[in-house]
Amino acid sequence: MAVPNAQHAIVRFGELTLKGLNRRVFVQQLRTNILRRLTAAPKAKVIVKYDHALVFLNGEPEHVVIDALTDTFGISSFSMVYPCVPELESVCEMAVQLLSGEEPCTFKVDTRRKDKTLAFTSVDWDKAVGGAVLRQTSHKVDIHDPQITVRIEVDARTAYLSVKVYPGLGGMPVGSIGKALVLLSGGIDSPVAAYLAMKRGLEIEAVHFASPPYTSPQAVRKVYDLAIQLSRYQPHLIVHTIPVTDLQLELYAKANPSYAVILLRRHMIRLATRLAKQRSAQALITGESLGQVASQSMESMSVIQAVTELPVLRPVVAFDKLDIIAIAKKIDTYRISIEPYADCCTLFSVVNPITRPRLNDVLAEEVKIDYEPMLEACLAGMETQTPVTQTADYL
Amino acid sequence: MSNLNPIYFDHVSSTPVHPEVLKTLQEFYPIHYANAEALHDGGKVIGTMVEASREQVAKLLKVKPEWVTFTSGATEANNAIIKGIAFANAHRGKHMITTSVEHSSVLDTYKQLEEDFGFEVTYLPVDSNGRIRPEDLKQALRPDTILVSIMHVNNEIGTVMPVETCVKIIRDHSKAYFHTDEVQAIGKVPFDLSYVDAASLSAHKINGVKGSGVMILKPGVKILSLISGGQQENGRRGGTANAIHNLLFGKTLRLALDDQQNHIASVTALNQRLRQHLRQMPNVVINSPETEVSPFILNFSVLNLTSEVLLNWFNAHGIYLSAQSTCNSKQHHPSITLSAMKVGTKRLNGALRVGLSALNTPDEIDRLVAVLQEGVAKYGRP
Repeated sequence: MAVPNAQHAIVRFGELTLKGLNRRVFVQQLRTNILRRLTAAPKAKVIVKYDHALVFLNGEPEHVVIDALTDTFGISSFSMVYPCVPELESVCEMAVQLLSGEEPCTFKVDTRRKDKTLAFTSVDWDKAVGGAVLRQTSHKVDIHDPQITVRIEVDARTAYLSVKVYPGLGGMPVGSIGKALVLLSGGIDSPVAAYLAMKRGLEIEAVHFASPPYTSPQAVRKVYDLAIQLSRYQPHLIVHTIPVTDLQLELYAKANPSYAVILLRRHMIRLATRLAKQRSAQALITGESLGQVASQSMESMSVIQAVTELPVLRPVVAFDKLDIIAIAKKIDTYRISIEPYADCCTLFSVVNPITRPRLNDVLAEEVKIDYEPMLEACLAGMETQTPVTQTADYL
Repeated sequence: MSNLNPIYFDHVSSTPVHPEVLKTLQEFYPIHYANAEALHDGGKVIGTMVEASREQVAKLLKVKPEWVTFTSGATEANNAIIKGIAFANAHRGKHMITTSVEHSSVLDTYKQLEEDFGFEVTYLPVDSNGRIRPEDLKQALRPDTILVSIMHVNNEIGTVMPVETCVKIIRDHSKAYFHTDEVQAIGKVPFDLSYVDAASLSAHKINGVKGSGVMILKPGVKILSLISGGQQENGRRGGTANAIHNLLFGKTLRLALDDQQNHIASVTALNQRLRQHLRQMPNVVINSPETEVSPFILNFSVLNLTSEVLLNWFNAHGIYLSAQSTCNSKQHHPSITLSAMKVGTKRLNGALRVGLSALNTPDEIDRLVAVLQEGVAKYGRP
């Protein structure tokens, strides 16, 4: 039997059905996001209904659509719908085929006749299709709490079958809440922070701080690879790379080495704030997690935060490292993050960094250099890119 | 014997290897000799690159990597698909359908199933353009039909088959699988593998290396593996992987598809130029259709001379082309496609196939025509 092709997908909305007046905006954003994720399937169409959307494949490959919907925030679940001739024999056969790919489980059949003049009752079909599946697969019937429900909608011209419910990512459509700038170091935490921010509907751009030649081009490439991985959830993710080498060298030459990291962090937030304003971003996002390293104590966070009026969102602030790693593995950024390229903070690391800084002491160290022109120079050296997958030389 | 600067018009038979493919080949062959399945780093490095190639092939064809099996070429892929599906589904039925104008790797496989394994095969006839009629397919379909094979582009005259219409008919009227030979289509005409269950591709027809092909198999297709003997290719094809060739397929396909639009445009212009010349020659009939045809193949017949004489004449002038499918060329059988089109003896005996590529030039077309005119004037029967 030929492998069936789905005709369309039913997409069930996530939390956004709760929204009142903004609902339309949220749903339109979701539609735009699905379409942006479907550039590889240009013939696919999205039609928005009240509490669900339909994605028509129009001959585009099914797996491309499934992948796209799996990666889009704002979807609670979706199912693929397979059309078939409205004859019992064909419907049974397709039900068997759609179910034979699944692990043994419990199921029930739920037939609905859209056309009540059809010469059979829904229960007739429930029984017949259920019987066929029971005979030809190793699934078992459970009409009260089935793991899989075979849904059949039938009118005079077509029967529509759907079997598997694919879980969506939940969350809100990216871009429906606003825009933020994420500080992407190349480590494990910041991509996870970016992912969680996107999940709550923020569109993001990323900023990375580099110290060439002390950090290698591969370190920037690594950040690009992380951005490409995150662009599954938000296509065309922009990465700004700001070189901070001169600023760093000046800091280490003139300030107390114990304060170097905290001062550099404050300058990074200053730079990010200016960039955020240029890019109309309303918040900064960091991968900081309480107590993880010296610069992530409560005192450090407050001293660092003092340089910006933008909210600094820290989605993983209360996560254990292992929880962060679990998400990083799920979104497949972990293997990239652990590639061994130094980022700018791991350079010039000192033996005794200050862990509980006081603002007055920090300010006293900070004024030792004339940082304002240096910040301007850093911004002038900024490079902006939308990273794309690099083809290996041999391919 | 051999000409130093031949004009090559046999790109349907085979093509020169793309310089970039050749470069990677030369670079990798001396270094990456380890078995790609080996667990040491030598094997892992080449194994990882082969998998990257598989992913790239999948992405370019809009399929999933696990649907891609590397083979020794399209002939193996066609054999594996047709026999594999036949043997695994014989309990459902032993009837199969193909066209009367397939490549011999498909036709002979079906003949073998018919003669040695008791399958029943319907060979669909073609019209005067070498094209099957969808209504013939509809009539041929039976409850026990298990597989339909229809080539996408005919390899002798370039006809594009109505594949999409056929798939719809198969889906609506039967439970048969659908297999298509994409060898002459990839990089040359638009293709869409989303509606096929199985497909075959070849590297050396698109400026890759010989001995390299790909078989696409959708999940859920019941198939018996033709070559047993190991875990390679997910158990679909045993034998130590021809890793470097498999690796090169990714690049070969990317290059072919990257330049597809430019290639089609320049080859269409060459094809038109040749057609215009040929239309003005008495005693010449163009066998390739006018529309729904690959511009890369132009087949014509000289009515007052035989192919053999013309091929010798062209060869002596350093112009390489073929009379028909090269896979039958040594048996002196007339063209399978033209025979099925029932074109008559004169057209059958005087047929020539020009296999164009973007490497050909308008000057080469003019040279071909000049040599043809000279040959016809000299040897043609009045």
